[in-house]
Amino acid sequence: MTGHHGPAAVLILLLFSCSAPNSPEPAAAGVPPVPELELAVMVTTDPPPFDRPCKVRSQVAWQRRDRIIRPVLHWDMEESAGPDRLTTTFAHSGRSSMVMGTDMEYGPSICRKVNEVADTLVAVGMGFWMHSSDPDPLLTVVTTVHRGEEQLAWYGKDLRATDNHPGEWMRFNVQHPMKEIKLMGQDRICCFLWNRNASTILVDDVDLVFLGPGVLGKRSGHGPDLERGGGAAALPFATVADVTLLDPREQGIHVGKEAPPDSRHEITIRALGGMRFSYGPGDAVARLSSPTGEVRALVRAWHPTLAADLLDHEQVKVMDGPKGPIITGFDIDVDSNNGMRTIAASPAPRSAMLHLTLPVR
Amino acid sequence: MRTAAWLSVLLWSLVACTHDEQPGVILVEDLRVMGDAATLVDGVATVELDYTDALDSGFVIPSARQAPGGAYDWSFKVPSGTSAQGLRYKFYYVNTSYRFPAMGPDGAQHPLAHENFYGSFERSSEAFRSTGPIPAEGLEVKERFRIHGDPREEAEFKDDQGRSLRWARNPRVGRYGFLVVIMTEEHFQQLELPQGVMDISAKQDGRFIDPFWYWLHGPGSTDKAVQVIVPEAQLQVVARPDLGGGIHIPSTAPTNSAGYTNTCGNTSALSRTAPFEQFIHYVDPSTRFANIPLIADVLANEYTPKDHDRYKALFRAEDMVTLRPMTTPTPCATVESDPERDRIILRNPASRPGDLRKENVGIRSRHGLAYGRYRVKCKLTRLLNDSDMWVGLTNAIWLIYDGAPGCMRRPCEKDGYMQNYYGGDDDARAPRVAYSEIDFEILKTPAYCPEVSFPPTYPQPIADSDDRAAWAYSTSDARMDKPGAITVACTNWDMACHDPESFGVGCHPLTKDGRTYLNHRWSKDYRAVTQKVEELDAELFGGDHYWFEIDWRPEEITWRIGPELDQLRVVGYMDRSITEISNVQMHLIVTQEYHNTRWWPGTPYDQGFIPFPSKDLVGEIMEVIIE
Repeated sequence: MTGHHGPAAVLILLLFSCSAPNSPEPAAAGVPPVPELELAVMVTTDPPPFDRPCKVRSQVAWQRRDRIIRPVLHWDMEESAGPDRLTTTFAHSGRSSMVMGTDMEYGPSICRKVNEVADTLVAVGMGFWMHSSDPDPLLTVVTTVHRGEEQLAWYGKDLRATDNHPGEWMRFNVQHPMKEIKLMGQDRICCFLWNRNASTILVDDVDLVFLGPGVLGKRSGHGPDLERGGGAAALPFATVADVTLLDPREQGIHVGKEAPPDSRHEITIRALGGMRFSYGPGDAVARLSSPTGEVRALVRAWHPTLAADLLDHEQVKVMDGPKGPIITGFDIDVDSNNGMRTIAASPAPRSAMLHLTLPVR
Repeated sequence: MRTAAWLSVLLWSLVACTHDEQPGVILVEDLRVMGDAATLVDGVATVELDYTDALDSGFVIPSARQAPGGAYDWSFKVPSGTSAQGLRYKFYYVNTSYRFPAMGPDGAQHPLAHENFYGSFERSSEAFRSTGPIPAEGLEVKERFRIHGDPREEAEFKDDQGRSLRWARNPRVGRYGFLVVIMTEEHFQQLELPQGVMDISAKQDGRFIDPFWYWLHGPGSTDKAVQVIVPEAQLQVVARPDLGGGIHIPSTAPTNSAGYTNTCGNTSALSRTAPFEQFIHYVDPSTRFANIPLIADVLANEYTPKDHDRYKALFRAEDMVTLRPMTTPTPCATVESDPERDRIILRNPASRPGDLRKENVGIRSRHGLAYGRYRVKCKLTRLLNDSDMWVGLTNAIWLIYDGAPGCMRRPCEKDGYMQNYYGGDDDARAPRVAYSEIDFEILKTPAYCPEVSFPPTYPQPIADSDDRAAWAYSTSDARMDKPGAITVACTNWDMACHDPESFGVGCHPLTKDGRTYLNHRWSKDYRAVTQKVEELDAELFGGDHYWFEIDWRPEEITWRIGPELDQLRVVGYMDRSITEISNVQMHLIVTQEYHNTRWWPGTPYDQGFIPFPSKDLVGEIMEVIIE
C-alpha cells in the first residue's frame, strides 16, 4: 500500500474553467449540465485527475489558529492537468468522468494530513457515482492511516456483486470511522479505489469528507434545560408582525459592486423604544437587547411571502427604519485573483423592514 | 352430513388423504355445528369480538349478546342399533388462520403445534362425554360450545389465587375449524388414550398434545374404530374495536384531570369498556437533545432545509434548549374519542413562548391478541412541507407485548434473547422474555440498504457565515432520499435471538414470491431487524385516508399499505428464517412521536434544528380491523 502515499496537497487558489472539453466528443445525450458555479476549480498537487477539485465546495475552510482546515473535497471530473484519466464516453454529470481501466488496479490516492482536514477526525466519508458493465467488478474503497512510514490502519468497503448494477450509474458511499486510532495531527489519511478485478470503471462526482464530531468551528455550550429546569430561561423569538419589502439598491446594495466590509451591526431601534438590534458575522439569528444590555429576544427575519429568512445570506446590512430594522441580505463573490469582494447576483439581494414585537415576559 | 363432512376434509389440506382413503367406522350422522351449514355463507359464520367485559373475562365467542345463552349449538344423530352401551364423543375447535402445521416434516407433532389455539369442552380437563345407552329408536345429541381464552387453563395464566386469567390468552381472530371424535363406549374402555388426549390441559413429555395432530395425523388417525369428523362449518372471528367507545386513562398517567371528557378519563365505566387508552410513552434519558427555541409552522412552509442547514452550522449552542420529547401533563387533552364519527383524534400540541413542547401522542388498545391482520385506516399528520422539510415527527403504527401474566416468548434455544429493550450491547441474555414489538415507523430518513449507498456522504458543516457552501448539509446533493418521499420502516423486534437459520447482520436479502426484501440489522446483538421503502408523503398522509396493515402470523410478518383495503401493496416481509417472530399477545399502538435523530443515522435533518410546532399536528384514526 505504500505506493499509494500521495504528496501532501498544496493548494493553489487559481480559477480554472472546467467548461472547456478535453475531448472533441460531444457529451452523451441527457447528461445533466454542470451548474455554472461548479465550473471553477482549485489546483492541488493530488494525482490526476484529482488535481482539480471543484472550488465552490472544496474551498470551504475553517481557520484554526495558524492552520486552515478544509474538510470537504469534491471533484466533478471535468478538468485535470493529466486528462488521460478522463473520458467523455459517459458522464454522470457534465461531459466527462474518470476512467479506471484494465491497467489500473489502484486508483490515484488522495492524501491529507489530519490537521489539514479536521480538528478532531471522527470518520472519513467518500461517495461517488460509478458505472461499470462488469457484473462483479470487485471494487473496494480504501482508507489508510499512516504515521511516518508506518501504516497504522487499513479500512476497506467492497462493492458486493449483489449491490452492483452493471451498465447503470450507481452511488457508492463509504464511511470509515476513525475511533479505533488515537490520531495525531501529522498522521496522513489516504483514500483510493482498489480495482481488484482490473475492470473498466467510470467514476464521477466524487466527494471526500473528513468528519468531525459536530459542526467544525462551532463553539460548544449548553442552553436552558426544559426538563430539569434551573438556570436561565430560553430566549424567546420576537414576533415579526409585518414585513415591508424594499429595494436593496435603495440600501446601497448593488449586484456586482464592491461589497461593504462585513462587520457586526449594533443598531438602536427607535420603533422599539431604543432596543438594540445586534447581528454580525457568525450569527444565525439577531438579538434584541434592552438599552442596558439585557438580551430580551432572538430575531428571525422571516418573510412569509418570500418564504425566506432575510438573514439567510453570507452578509447582512442593518439600518434603523421608521417601523423597525431594515435588513438587507446579500451574498458575496470573491475574486480569487485579487481577493476583491463583490455583491453576488445569485442568490439575489433582498431587503425589508421588519415590524417587530417583543414577546411578553 | 357425512358427505358434506368428507367434502370439507378434502378441502382441508393436510387432512384429506388420510381420511379420504381410510374413512373408518360410521357411528353418527347429520352432524351440525352452528346450525345448518347450508345457512352459512360458504359454510362460514362470521362474528365480531364482543368487547363488553372482555377486559376482565377475556373474549368469549359468542357472547351472550350474540347467541342465546352465549353459546353455539352443535348436534349429531345416532342411528338405532349403533351401540348398546352408547357412544363417547369429544368436540374440539382450533384457530386455523394463525397456527403452525399440526404435523412436522417427520410426521410427528410439529414442535410448535402446542402453541396453536385450540380448545374443547369448557372445563379443559373433561375427557370424552357419554351419550349413555342408545334407545332403540336412536338418539339425537344436542350440545353447545363457546370459544374462550386460555382453553387449556394453563398454570401460567392464573392469578395468585389460582383463578384462570382468560384474557391473558385470548381467542385469536381469524378462521376457526372444528373436529368431532366419536367412538363406542366399548372401544373407549379398551383404548388407553394418553392423558394429554383425554385432557387437553395435561402435558406429555412437557408438551401439550395438539388434538388436531393426534386425531388427524397421529395415532388416533389410524384407529378404524373411531369416527373423526371435520365439519364443513367454520367460524370467522373479526375484531373491530370501537374508536368512539372512549379512551381510558391508565393509573400510571399524570393525575391532572383538567382534560377529562365524557369519552376520555378514568371513570369506572371507561375503565370497564373503553377499547383504547392514552399511550404514555416511556422516554429514555438517552433521547435527550438540544433544540432551537424557534416556534414555526413547518407544514405551512415557515421553515426550509436551507434554514435547517444554516441554523445547524451557526445557531449558538448556548441559545439551544435541552429536552426530552415530552408526554402529556394533561391526559385527554391531546387524544379524543369521537363517538359521532367513530374515530380517534391525536394532537401533538402546539408550542407557545415559554412552553416549548415536542410532545409525543398516541393511543393503545387494551385487549391483547396474538397474531392477526391489524388493519388501520387513518389520516396521520403530514410529515413534509413543500420544500421537503420534515416536521420531525415519526408516524407509527405498531404492536407491543401486552405484559399479561404468563405471556413470554417461546424459548430462544441458541443463546437466548437480549434481556432488556434498553439494555445496550452488554445486556445479559435470557432464554425467554416478554418484550415483543412489530412496527411501522414512517419518517424522513434514508434506506440503510443496499450497503453500497449508505451512509450518504454529507459535507462536514462549518460554522462560517461568510460562505454559504460551508452550511450545506440537507441541501447538499449527498442526499439519497427522494424529494417528497418519506421512509416506511418495517421492523420486527426479535431481541437478537440467534435461532433463525438465516440470521444476518448488515444488509441481507430475503426472497419471497420472486421479490427480494433487504433486511438490515446493525450487529449480531442488535434487537431488531428493519426493512425500508420510500413512499410519497402526499400519498400516505395528504389524502382523505390511507390503510396500514401488519399481518402478523406465526411464521411470517407482512407489512402492507394502500389507499383502500382492496388496493394494499406489500412494503415489508419477514419470515422465521431471518427473525424470531413473537408468539405473545400484543396491543395495537398508533402514535405521532418525536425521535432523537441519532436513532436514524443518515437522516438529512437533525431533530434539534427542527422548530417546535406552532400549531397542533393532528392525526385521525378512522377504523381498526383485526382479522
